[in-house]
Amino acid sequence: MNNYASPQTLATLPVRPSVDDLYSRVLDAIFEQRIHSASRFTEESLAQMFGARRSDMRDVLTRLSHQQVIILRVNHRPRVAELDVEQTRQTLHARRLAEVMLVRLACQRPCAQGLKRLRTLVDNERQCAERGRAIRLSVEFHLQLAQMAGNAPLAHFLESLVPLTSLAIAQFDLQQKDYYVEHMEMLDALERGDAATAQVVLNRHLDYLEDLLLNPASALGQNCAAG
Amino acid sequence: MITSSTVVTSVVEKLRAALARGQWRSGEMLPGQRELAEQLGISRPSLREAVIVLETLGLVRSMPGKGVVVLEASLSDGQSHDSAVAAASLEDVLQLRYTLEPFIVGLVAQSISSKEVGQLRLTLMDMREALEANDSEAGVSAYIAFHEELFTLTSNPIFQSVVQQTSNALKQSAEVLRNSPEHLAERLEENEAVVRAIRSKNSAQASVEMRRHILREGQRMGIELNIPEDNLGS
Repeated sequence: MNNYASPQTLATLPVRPSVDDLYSRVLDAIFEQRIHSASRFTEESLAQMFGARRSDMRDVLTRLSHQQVIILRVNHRPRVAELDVEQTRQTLHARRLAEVMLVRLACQRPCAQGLKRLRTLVDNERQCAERGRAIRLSVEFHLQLAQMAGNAPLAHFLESLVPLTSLAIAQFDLQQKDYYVEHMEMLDALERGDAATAQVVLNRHLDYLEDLLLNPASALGQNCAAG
Repeated sequence: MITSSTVVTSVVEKLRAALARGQWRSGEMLPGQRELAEQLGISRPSLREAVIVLETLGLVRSMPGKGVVVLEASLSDGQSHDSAVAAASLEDVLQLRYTLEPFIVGLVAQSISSKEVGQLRLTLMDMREALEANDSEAGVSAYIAFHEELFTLTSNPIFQSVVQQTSNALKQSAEVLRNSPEHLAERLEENEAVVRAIRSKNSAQASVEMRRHILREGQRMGIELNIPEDNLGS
């Protein structure tokens, strides 16, 4: 006898709610560097660690591999990506192209329901004290905003870029500033359909990230000053 | 991040085509690894890698210890995060191309070697030959190949997932692209202008030509492309 649901049953349920939850927990752990690029783990050991089914963990790893956060290779253990400065530069560049367009499109058609979801998200960000979760919520903000633009493939492309920049923030172990303030500004602009302001805020945000992530030396100086 | 080699890419394409033809229906299992690898004439590791890609696209699902089950295409569309493109309209794809490709050709113009320019020109020559032979099928293939080469020339792995998406979308809209020989002639002319700019290492001009090409492409397809005005004029 087997303990698996039949393939047909599984096929009708490609994403179970628990998988979304599991995804969030794994990503939190990565952003908190509890799992990092030197960690040794397998699909199975992760599933055990999180008390999840192996097939669910596989879904999560597949999704994280699209987001470039986890690297899946045949005959190798999965591992957390490790970014160098050049990759970060390219990612930020591609992200700027895609996200500026997405934000401008979203400003053409801000929908009430989407705005409400984003408001809740920013509220959660403001109240969040844990670093890993805060980074993940910030990722979610950018991706949900992108959904509002109504261009699925472009939003999909952004989904492969935003978590990666956040991973860089986590890996460089930099102090996360309170992004929710900027997110609120962007949201206000979006609500007014004010594409110019939204774009200014976004570009400022990306400039800041570029500065932080591409000049580790100056960022280090900032940290020393701060600490 | 999935490492992809040419072998894997071509196997992915083969399997996708077989799935699209309905060689295996949803709920069915793919043949065993060994058998399938033999059929396709590739190694099992390459096959496994191809299956991972298909899984990412939401077309199949690996069942540990059981095999690979084919998912229902329409079902995975809406729900999977990774098959957004299947639902993409032509307008979405043109918008995406308009966002990325002018930048990409700009990059390429900065770094291209003369050998690589030669390759691009060969592909355009294929397009010209197809035009002269009135072979619209070959014309569309050359057009898609040109598009893929440009992405490859950036040697930026970030763009690899997106080029797979856009060229799949182009293949799906091959019907629209094939519709008339005059269109192929225009497409060729516009792409030649892009390559001329790249060849003279003029990034700005290459971007301008690519933008023009994509806007015209929209007109040819009868799509009014929504490009939000860049309020900053940057």
